[in-house]
Amino acid sequence: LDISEVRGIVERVFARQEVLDVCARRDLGAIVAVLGTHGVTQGQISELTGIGQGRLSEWARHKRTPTASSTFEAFADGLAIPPRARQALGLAPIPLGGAGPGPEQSPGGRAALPAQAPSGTARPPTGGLSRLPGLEGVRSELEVVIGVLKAEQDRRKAGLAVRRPAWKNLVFTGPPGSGKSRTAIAVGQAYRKLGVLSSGRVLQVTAADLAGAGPEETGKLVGKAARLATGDLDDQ
Amino acid sequence: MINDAHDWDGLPDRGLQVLRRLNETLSEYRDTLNDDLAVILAGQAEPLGRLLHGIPPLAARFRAVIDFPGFTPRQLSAIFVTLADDAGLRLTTAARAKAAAVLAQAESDHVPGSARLAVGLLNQATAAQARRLAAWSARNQMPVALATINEGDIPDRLSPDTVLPADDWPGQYL
Repeated sequence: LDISEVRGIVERVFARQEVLDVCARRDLGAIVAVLGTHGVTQGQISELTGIGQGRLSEWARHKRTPTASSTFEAFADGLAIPPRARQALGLAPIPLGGAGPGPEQSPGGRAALPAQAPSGTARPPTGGLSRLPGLEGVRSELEVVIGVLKAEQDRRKAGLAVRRPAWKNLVFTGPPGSGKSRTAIAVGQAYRKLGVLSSGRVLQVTAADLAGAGPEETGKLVGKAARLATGDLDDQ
Repeated sequence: MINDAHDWDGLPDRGLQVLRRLNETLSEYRDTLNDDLAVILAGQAEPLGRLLHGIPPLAARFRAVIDFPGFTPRQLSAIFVTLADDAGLRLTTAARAKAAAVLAQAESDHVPGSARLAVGLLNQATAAQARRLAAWSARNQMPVALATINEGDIPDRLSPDTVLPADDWPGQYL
């Protein structure tokens, strides 16, 4: 299935009353199973939502049950679930966290499930950071960064050449426990949704992990970390 | 995400080797590997700024420097409530008030502005609630009770064991 087919299936499936009833029970495992019967694989759902395939499998087999609001938000945001179904899941009808209006209002903001209309004036997605008080300033700065990347993506979608893409790298400064890692996860999700990265996975390493005894070893360590981060190398 | 990136400033070559290699890697991914990599350097502002200014081409590859000032006691209380909500738990009014007082005290005693205090307090509170519930008979455990943290579940002080004194273990706690 390509992404447009997945989008069509999601819209059709979540329009059905029995699926809305499943949403009201907050049974994500049953939703994963229903999507599976329509050909949407757990791997595709994982890729779109950033939720691990193993976790999805456990839900589908009812070995585990998700409870965290952030999980429901990631699931609904990643699949661009329609407003009625979002409400049935106990979520706001449009994505929270600066993710902007839902698919009906602002489909262009989601690279994971690209839609037909232009982006409009939606705020760039910042991965649910609004749930954490005290990160308003961080969120505001990120919106500028992500807004630039989003505009760039919109130009690409419009068929315009982007010969000099904007850099996506960031510097986070601050003491331990100030939300840097949490924000990095949100940035990963936002970049994936925009389509500027193929995966939202964040690999965390410490500076010492990359500093080798000599240039050759350092080169290997940095290269390996990059390949791990991009999924080109398995961390097993 | 590269944590404690400021540590490179303490290397004999002031991190030149690793920063050069990082610069090469970013260029390589951009030019030949579909630009499918983003790097976040995290650490202390001053040494990190010094490192990047030493290699202007690398500094130019970082789009923004975002400062995380840490959380006020009031924000820590709100984070505690959010984390409890994410765990499917509800706090009584008295529990919220006590948690706010404990966090304010811990904030001044331990690591100022660290959200790990809120995480640590929630860990202690959920453990206390679990012990309380275990002492009840199953018949008495109404759903609302299972999801409620009351004042007695909040410890009088945050255990030092739950607070990491330094950034020995960087990572996502929130």
